[in-house]
Amino acid sequence: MAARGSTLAIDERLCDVYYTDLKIPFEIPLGEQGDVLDRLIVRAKEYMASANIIAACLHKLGAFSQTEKKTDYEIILKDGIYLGATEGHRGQILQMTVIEKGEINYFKVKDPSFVNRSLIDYTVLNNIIADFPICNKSLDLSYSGFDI
Amino acid sequence: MEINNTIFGSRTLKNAIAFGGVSKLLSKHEQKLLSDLLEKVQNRVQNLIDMATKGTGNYDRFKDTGIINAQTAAAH
Repeated sequence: MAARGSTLAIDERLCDVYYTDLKIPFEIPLGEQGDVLDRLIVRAKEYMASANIIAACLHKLGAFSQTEKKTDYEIILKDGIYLGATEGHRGQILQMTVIEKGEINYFKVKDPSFVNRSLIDYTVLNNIIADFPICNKSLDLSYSGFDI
Repeated sequence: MEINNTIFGSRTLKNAIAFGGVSKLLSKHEQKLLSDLLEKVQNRVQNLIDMATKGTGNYDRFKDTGIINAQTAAAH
């Protein structure tokens, strides 16, 4: 989200095969110069875009609403290292799972706040101290995300 | 979260996420409810945009504050 506020069209959904299979177009709102106002407007427009995606999904769902719910799953854990990437509401979320001997041995999540945290140093430059709270909150950081 | 709680009975979608999708099929009534809730929140978000862009107090505070240029954003 912080990157999009600064004009960078970065979005994990652009290369997400599961999402692109849905064939639902979506808008990537971008800021103009990367200030607090841009990040606020981008966040608000992202909500609008998400609501439009859900509405489109609901429209598609109408054709499947009578199908039976599948409850019997067979889960097979194959040994290996697996990576997953998702576009969360703050940005790209990466997950790594290590499976050894059929069991999850290690699981790690990289939250977007982990990298966005360092941007606070740049937002406060040339601003008064009273602007720190809005600079900080405009990045919408997850504090618990730092240490995950 | 308000929508999650209304539709799935959990603000954090507890027990709603399953392998391959979700654990619940939405009825026609729930689909309509979801559409209505989304529209309601969209109106609130539009009000937020108006407050930020049309009120001079907020606009002056937010505009040109905390700038992160594209080069800096890309480097992180």
